Amino acid sequence: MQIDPMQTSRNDQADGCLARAWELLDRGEHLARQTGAEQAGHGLWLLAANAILRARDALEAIHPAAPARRGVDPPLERTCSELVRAAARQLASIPAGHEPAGLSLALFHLAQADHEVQGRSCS
Amino acid sequence: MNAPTVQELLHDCSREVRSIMWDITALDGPALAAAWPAFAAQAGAALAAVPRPDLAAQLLAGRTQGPRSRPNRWGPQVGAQPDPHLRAAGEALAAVADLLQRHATAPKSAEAARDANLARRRIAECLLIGAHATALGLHEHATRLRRALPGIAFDQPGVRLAVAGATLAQSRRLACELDTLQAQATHYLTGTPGQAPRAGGEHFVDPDRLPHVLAGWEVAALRVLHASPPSVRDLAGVAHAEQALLMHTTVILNAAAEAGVIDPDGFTAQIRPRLADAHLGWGDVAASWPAQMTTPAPPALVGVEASAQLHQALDEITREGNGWATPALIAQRVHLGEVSGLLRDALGAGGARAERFAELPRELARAGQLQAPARLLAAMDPVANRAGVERPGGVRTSDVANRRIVLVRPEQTTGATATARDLGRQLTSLTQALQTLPLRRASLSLVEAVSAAQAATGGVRPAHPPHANPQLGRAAAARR
Repeated sequence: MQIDPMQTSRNDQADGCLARAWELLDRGEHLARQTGAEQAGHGLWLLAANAILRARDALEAIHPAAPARRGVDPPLERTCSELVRAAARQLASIPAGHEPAGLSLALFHLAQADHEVQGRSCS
Repeated sequence: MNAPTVQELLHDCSREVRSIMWDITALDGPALAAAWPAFAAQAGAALAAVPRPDLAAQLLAGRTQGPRSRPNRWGPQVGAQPDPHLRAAGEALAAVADLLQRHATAPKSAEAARDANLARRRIAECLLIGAHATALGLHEHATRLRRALPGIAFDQPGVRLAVAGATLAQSRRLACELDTLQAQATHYLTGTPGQAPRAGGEHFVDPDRLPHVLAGWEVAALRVLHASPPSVRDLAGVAHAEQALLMHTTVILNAAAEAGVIDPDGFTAQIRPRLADAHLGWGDVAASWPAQMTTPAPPALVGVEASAQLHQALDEITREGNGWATPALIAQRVHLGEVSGLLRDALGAGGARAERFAELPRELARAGQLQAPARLLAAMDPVANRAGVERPGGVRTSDVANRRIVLVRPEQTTGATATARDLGRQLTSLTQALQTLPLRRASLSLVEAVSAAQAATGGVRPAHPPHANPQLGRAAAARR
C-alpha cells in the first residue's frame, strides 16, 4: 500500500490546527477565570469562562488528540476575545476535506464563546 | 376555530425543534434520523414558498433535499419510529408552505419584504436547530455503539449497548452530512438581514424550559459522575456548571427578595453568604480537576450540550445583552415563586453530586485511571513544596525534573477528597437555610399585581400566567 505524502501532510496540518485551537481556548478559559477572580462583576467572567470551556471540550470530544501538543508553543494573543477569534481562525484553516466529523458542533459553541467575550477586556 | 397563521405555525415549529434540545440526555439518534428527511424537505418547501426568495434562500432550500453528492436522498434509510417533535415541527412547516403557496403574493412594501425575510430566517433557524439536534443525537448514538472502555465497574448497565435502528456507519455518515448543512444554514443566517432588536421586557421565556433543562442537565451530570471512567474534562465541566447555577440562583433570588416573594432580610443574612461560599466551594472542586490531568475518556458531547442548554435557559431569565437583567425585568420574565422553588430543589440535589465528587478521586486513582504531570502533582502537594525534599509516597524529584506524566496514586488524592467534603458541608448548610426561607405565598399576589400593572402601562405582558402553587416539585420536570 502506498502512502500519499501530500495526504499525510494535510492530515498533519489539520491535526496541528485542531491542537492549536484547543490550546488557544484552554488559555482563554484560564484567562477568563483568572480575570473573574480579580475583577468586580466576576459572575459574567465565570459565564464567559464556561462558554470557552464548552468550546474547548466540544473540540476535544470530536478530536480527542487535540490536547496532545499542549504547552509546546504558548499563544501570543493577549485577551480572551483575541484567543477565541484565533481559535476560530485555526479551525477555519483546516484543509478542506480534512475536517473531523462534528466540527460544526464545536463551531457552534465557539460562536457562543465569542458572543460571551465580546466587549470584555481580559489580559 | 381560527386556522393558525404563518407566524403561529413558525412559533409552533420553533417550539417543537427546541423542545428536542430540552432534554438532550434523551436524544434518540435513530428516531431523529428517521424523521429528518421529511422535516428537511418540509423546511425546504416552506423556504421556497416565501415570495421572492433570494439566491441564498434558493440555495439553502435546494440543499434541504440532500447532500450534493447524493441529491434527493439523506443518508441511508433508518428503521426507527420518527421522533415525534421533529415530525410535528415538519408538519408545521408543511402547513406554512401550504398557506404561503395558496395565499402569499410578492411583497409590495418594505414592511412586507421585511416580514418575508423574517419568515425565511425563522424557517432557516428551525432547520439549523433541527439539524443540530439530529447530528448531536447521531454523534451520541455512534458513541454508545462503541465498546465500553475497560475500567471501574459503575452501576450503569446498558448505557453503552447498541441501539437498534441505525448502524455506526449510518449514524456517522448522516451526522457528517448534517454538519455540512448546519454550516450552510449558519452561513445563510449570518448573511441575511437580522430582525430588529427586541426590547428586553418583551423577551419571551418559555415557563416549561427551565424545568426540562435542569432535569436534563442533572441526568447528564449523573451520567458523567457514574461513567466508566468519567472524563476529567466532564468533571470540571459539571463543577463549573454548578458554579453558574449558584450564581444565577443568587441573581434570581435577589430579584425575588426585591419583589417580596421571599423574605429580603433572610435572603441577605442567611442565603446570600451561603450561596457565595458554595460558589467558591464548587470552584475549588473544579480546580481539583485541572486540564493537565487526564483519564482515558475524552469529554462527552452530551455533557457539553447539557451544560450549554442549562446556561442558555438561565441566561434567558437573568441576562440582558451581555450584562445582567434588572430585578424588575427578571420579575416580568418569569414567575419568581416557581423558579425560586425549582432552583432550591436543584441546589438541594447538588449535595449528592458533591458526595460523588468526594468518592471519585480515590476510586479513579485506585483503578489507575488518573494521570497528571509530575510537576502539577508536586505543585498541588503543599507539604512536599514546603519541604523541598522527596518524601515517601510523594512525587519523585526525577519525574518532576524530566516533566513526566505519571499515574496519580490514591494517597495523592486526599486534598481533592477533602475539598469535595468541605463543599458537601457548605451545601448542607445552604440547603437547610433555604428550607427555613419559605416562599411568601401572600406576596405572590402582590408580584402578580405589579406584573399586571407593568403589563398594562408598559405594553409588556407577563411571560406566562402564574400558577396557584409556587412549590414546583421535581415531578414537573419529568414532563415532556
